[in-house]
Amino acid sequence: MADLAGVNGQREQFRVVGQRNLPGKLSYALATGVAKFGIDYVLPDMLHAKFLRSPYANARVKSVDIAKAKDIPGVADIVTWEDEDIKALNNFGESNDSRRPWLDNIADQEGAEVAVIVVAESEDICEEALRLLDVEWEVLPHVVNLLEGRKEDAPVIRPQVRDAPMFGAPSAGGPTNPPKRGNVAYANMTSGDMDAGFAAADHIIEYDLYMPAFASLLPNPSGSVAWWFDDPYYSEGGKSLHIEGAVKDKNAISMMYRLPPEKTVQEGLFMGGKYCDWGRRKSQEITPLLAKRTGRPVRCVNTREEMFDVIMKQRYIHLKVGFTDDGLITAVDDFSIADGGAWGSSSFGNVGDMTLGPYNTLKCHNINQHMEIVDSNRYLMYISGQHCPFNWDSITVALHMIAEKLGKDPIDIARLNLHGPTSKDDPDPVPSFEACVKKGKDLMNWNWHPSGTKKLPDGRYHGMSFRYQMCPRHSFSSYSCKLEFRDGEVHMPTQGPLFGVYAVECNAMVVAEELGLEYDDVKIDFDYREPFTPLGGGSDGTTASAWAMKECANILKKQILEAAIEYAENPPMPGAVSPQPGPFKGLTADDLDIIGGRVVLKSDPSQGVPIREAAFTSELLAITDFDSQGVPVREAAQKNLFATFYGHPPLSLWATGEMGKRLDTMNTAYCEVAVDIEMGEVEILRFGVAADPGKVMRPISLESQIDQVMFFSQGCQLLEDFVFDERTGVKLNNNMIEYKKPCILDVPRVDREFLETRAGNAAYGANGISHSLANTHLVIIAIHNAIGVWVDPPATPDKILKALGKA
Amino acid sequence: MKPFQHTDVRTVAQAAKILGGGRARVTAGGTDLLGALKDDVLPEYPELVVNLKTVPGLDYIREEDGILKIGALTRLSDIAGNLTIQEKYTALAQAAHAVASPHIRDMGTLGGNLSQFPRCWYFRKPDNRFNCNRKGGDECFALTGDNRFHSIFGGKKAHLTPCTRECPAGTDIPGYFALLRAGDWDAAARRIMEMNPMPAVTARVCAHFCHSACNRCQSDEGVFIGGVERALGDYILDNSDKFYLPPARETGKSAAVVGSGPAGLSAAYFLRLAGHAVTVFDGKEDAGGMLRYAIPAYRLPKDIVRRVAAALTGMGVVFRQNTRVGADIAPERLEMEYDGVCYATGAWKRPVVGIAGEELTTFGLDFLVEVNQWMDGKVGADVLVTGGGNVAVDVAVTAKRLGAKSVTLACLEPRGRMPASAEEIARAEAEGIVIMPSWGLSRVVEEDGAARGMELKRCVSPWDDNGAFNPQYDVNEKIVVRVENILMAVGQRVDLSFLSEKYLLELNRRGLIGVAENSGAASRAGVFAAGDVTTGPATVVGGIANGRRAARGMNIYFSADAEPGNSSIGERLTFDAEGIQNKAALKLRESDAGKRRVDLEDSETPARDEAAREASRCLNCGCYAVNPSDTAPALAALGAHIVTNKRVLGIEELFEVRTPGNTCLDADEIIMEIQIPAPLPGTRSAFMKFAFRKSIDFSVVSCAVSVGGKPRVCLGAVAPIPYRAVGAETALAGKEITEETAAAAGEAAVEGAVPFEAARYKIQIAKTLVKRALLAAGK
Repeated sequence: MADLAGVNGQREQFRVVGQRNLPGKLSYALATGVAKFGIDYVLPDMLHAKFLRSPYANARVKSVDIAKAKDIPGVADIVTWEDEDIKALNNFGESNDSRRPWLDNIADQEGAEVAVIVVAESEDICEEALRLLDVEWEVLPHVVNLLEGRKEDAPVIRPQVRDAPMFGAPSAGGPTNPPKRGNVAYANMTSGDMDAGFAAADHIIEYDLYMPAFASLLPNPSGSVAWWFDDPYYSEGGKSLHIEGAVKDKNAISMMYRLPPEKTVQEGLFMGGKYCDWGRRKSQEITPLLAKRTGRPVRCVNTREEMFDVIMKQRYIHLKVGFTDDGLITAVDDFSIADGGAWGSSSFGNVGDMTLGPYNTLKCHNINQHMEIVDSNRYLMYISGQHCPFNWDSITVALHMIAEKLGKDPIDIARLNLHGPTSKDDPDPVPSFEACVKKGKDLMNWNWHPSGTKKLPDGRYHGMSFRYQMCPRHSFSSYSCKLEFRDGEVHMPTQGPLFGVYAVECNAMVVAEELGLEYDDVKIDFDYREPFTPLGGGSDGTTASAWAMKECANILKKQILEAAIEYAENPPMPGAVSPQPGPFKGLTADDLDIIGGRVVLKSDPSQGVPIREAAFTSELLAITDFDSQGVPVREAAQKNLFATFYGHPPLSLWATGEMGKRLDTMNTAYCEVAVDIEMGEVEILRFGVAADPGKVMRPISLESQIDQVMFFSQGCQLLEDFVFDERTGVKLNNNMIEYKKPCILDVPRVDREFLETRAGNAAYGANGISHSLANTHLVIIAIHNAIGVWVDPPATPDKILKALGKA
Repeated sequence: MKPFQHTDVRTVAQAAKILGGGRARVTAGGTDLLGALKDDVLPEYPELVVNLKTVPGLDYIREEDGILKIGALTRLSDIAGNLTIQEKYTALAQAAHAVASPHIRDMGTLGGNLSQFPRCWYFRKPDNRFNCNRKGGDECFALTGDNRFHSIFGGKKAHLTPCTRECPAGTDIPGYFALLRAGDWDAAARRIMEMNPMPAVTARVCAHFCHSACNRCQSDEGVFIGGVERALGDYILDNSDKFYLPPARETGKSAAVVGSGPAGLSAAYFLRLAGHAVTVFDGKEDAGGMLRYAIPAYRLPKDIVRRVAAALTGMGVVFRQNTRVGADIAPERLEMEYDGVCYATGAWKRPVVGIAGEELTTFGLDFLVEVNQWMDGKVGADVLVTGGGNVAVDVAVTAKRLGAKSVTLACLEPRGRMPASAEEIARAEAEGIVIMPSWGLSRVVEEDGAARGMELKRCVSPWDDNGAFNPQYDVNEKIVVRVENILMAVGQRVDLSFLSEKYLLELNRRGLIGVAENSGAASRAGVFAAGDVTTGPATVVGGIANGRRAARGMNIYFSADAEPGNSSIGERLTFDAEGIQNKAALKLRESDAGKRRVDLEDSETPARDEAAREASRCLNCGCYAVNPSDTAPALAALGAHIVTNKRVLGIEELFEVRTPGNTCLDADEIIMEIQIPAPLPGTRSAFMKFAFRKSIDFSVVSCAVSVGGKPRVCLGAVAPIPYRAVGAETALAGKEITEETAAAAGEAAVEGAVPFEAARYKIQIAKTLVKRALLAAGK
């Protein structure tokens, strides 16, 4: 177990945490359709807004004549990029040295918002007005094929400088990053002695792998509704803003419009974002301005087609790996070409993940990484997308290839190369890995076979694969927690909105656990004014926020116990209608506990009082009634208590620069496929996951996350891809028919086994897991194991047949 | 979605009446149309949507008189769940069940499933982003774009390709290119001669508007159509006895053609081809008109023209040279002696420009006709040529090659809009000719009764605001070009002096012979006209087209059969998957600029293999989207008929490539019923669909088979229409269904596939599906 500080010390017995079938606090609303997303807000007198969107992959609006559009009945406002209101807007997108205006006349993706916003009585009128704009376009060269875009003679598509990427600064002693050239920026990192590493190798393999761009789910089209109102509580200094469907954090809108946080209201609890979708669309940011200009509520919602913005970026990798006769890796030379993303986009997911990748789990010290980051017009969002979890597949493929070459089980090769818990020089693998492998092998009836050697009774070829990853520690976010003991009940005030992460349930479970209550006893008060929000990196954030809330719960617990003693020391005057204090006189809080909703003596838990009767004050007796003789009935007042905590869990390894060089909890994933070599069709027979999240807090959340992430993995490995018309740069499959997200009938069985080594750093030794199980090559390796040839993801039938020489 | 009106109808007749009024679309389940409207993919947005679902009595499944009858509005889910269909018409039940998803099957109807719009991501891209061939545009973007889901059995022509459209003769260029790629030069020859009887001539002198229209110009280099045409044209001339055959039968009609230029020769050819006795009258010694006398030999060798005339003679055309109509024979006489007369006398007359000293200049055409004599004593002189057309360039180049010291060419038009072809202008400049665009003629500089130069004035624009020829000048900007010789190659005129005052023939407003637009018929019965005499100076290929038109008009006048039209209609379009990857166009081998002569051709005809290679660059623009219907192949395998409000069609007749639809139905034609004959005892059918996902996806390949009687095999999603695999049916005839025979049928089914590289995988899937469907049905 991890050595955890403070009241987060170990708990052996759990009543609430880890329980199955506890209802989600918002599930009812979601299941019944009551949940309101931004798209669902319809207000009286509401206007609608739409952006001009570029039909070109890279183009400049030279001029636009709005006269005809403005004359259409029902058009309320037309704003262009030259409008002072627009120029005054802040663009908080990451800049990478060339921050752009919030809206300008350059569209560097097909479908990008550009130059003009139309506001009208209906969306139809908006569309009609957009059609009547007289726009003079200057079509510019585009790059949607990274391999073409990196060439020296490729047209340079944007002036952005990326000489100093936000992540992935050169390592100490390593070569400096060369300056950007053409469309290509560079990031290099080196450790160890590459020459010595390859010299020590008995074998050297080189291979290419490709990670496709793909989208995550689109649960609800993004957009917002905003209106301004006179707030009687904050009447001075102008109107307050109400915005719905905007962002996961309304403060971003407050900042953008330079409002104090308390003057920005967002009450809705549902955002409808995508996986790791931290970016804000322009439709989510613009409505406050348009509402201010028109004096009416304004709604701006993206269509589903407009929501097809890439989350996971494309990457090409060439790996050269040296290893010994027994399979120990001695050197890794990694060259990759990555998509630079939208103009002004984050370099997260490009350079930074090199520092977080799989190589740190290897005993091998000799690692060389070169990356070319290529600007493209592939319609990426600002600040979204990451390949971090997927980056692990480069070494996963290596392990499989080494195993193939040496005729060994890839799990044995992984074990040989994995270092121990405290450093890369630890000779033995981390115990969590061994435990996961043991569970996983049982789960899968693991019986590895060389490629192309096993046929199923129906004639298809059988393949299997294995993959490991460490569970990430995202515990660098601090949380502002508050718990209230109010009128005898525990309340957990929480700010919405929530975007598909059911962290709030985990937090409530922890509070209940620590306060000796049942899950339902913790009342969650959703209130936009409250600071606490249990977000910050998926399940990693869940476990970290739960750690902070656990601290807070124990502070409240102490207050309740102290209040119970104080009440016992100062009982109400005789005759008052008041609960009797517990037998706590002369004791201290350390002598008490809360068990089963009662404050009790530790020494004799049968003695105590219900928690709701524990904290009263006799200082002031309130007249609550009159008896039949007219004598006032006096009652002792409930004592309300408030606990706060601000902080984050200790040992945030990723934040302290260790970047996975120390290992704690691990997870393993497995896949079995059947390949029809006549049709090129792959069926995933099942996924298996044996994972150690440290401590399972809310099983259904964890299972759902794993199901979801295996669904991602299936999609990107078998079906999903963005298809561009290279000549025009136009994306061809912005719909759910042509963009082939797996359907429910396609989704395979996912078997799961969990371990609880309690080795994480968050609440109860839990660790985040979420997307660490996402991968781009687990299925691909299984396919290779089945048919003996490599197929780039997505392994669609055409590619399978081509690899087999049948197409 | 754009606004539209929506109306319910109670009868099919009511719907048809509304639909016949235009700008209306019919909807049944709406699962296809409403999505298309929402995404705005149709080339023309309907003003009205007519809802058929309110027509009672069109959703039924019943067996009558040995025929299964299904109302067109029957929902797919009802068909999939019907026990009779499942048992006896299994393929249809399976196909209906394979469509999309349960929700769509609950909404979609059988009639609607057959009538879907093309399923192509270029066609379906919202906001009409790609004005593709199937929408009336010029390109199939899938041809050079992403075509992984497209046809493996070629495309279909949705309408004329831009090269053909831009060709005044309407030559089926992609059609004869496809035949060349197939190695059938004779068929290619016959195809091109359907529109143009002298490709050896046009290959050399045509402005080739087709070049700039070629869709490849959008991405790399347009196909060098003229180069291919030249190889084929020479092949035709080299084998003239094979291609210029006397007609199989004589009509007994006689025709006189006056003039032997391109229009006259063309008219003579097509008239003779139709079986008429044709006599050509021409005032010059040799036949060929402008081709023979005005176009220099370095561009068009005289021998080519002589051989064309000889070939026509071989067909039975009689040439009466040195016979001037109006002088040697009167028009009235021609009318009396011949059943029809066609005037194609050209435009040979010198115009009067109206500048001082004009009489000291030489008319360009006279120069070309008498070129060698004219140059006597002028070697080493400075020459100015005026005019911007091909004749002017010919004059200039000829003068330079014959020894002029310097040649300057001045014209009204700005450089980019000179009528001469870009190739000719480039040739002139390569040989040292100075081009002076945007200059008009002011006056001849005269000294001692001789021309010593030309004063030019700046031409601001040759056209007025309406685009009419009406030169605008800046008279403050003038320049003098000092030369001794001035050759006027501007605006030849039509000479109609051969028509006597008594011979009444209506002229048009330009003073040319007025003819009917469609027939070339002049105002007198039996009299036709063609070429420059009807249009003013124009192109050679325009003259050929005109000649064909007049011949056709005369045919109709004679009540004879019109000659066959474009034989390519309905053909499956093919292309060379490797050839289209070749970005660089064929180039002619040309002699060095310094070694060029007036009497020898500058360039060589490409070898046949070179021409075939260039033909393989042709995209054969059509539509390569596949028919998306899952039920269509099942119905084809079951031998269904379609009953509309107008007719009864075989299922395979229903499908056609149209803009933007997939059926041959008229705008006011509505599918009412689908009829399937009861299967013979022992007959079984099956349908299989291969898609990337188990639900919602359209087929990558589908296959329906019927076995036990006469085998029928139909593939879906592999061609623009459902594809009957006749080869597979032949392979199966009379055989038991076994692993081996089913596999052999699969192989036979995909014979003749011509896939895009990215769609090649479909072949493997198609043959596997055929095998598996046969085995499933055979169980």
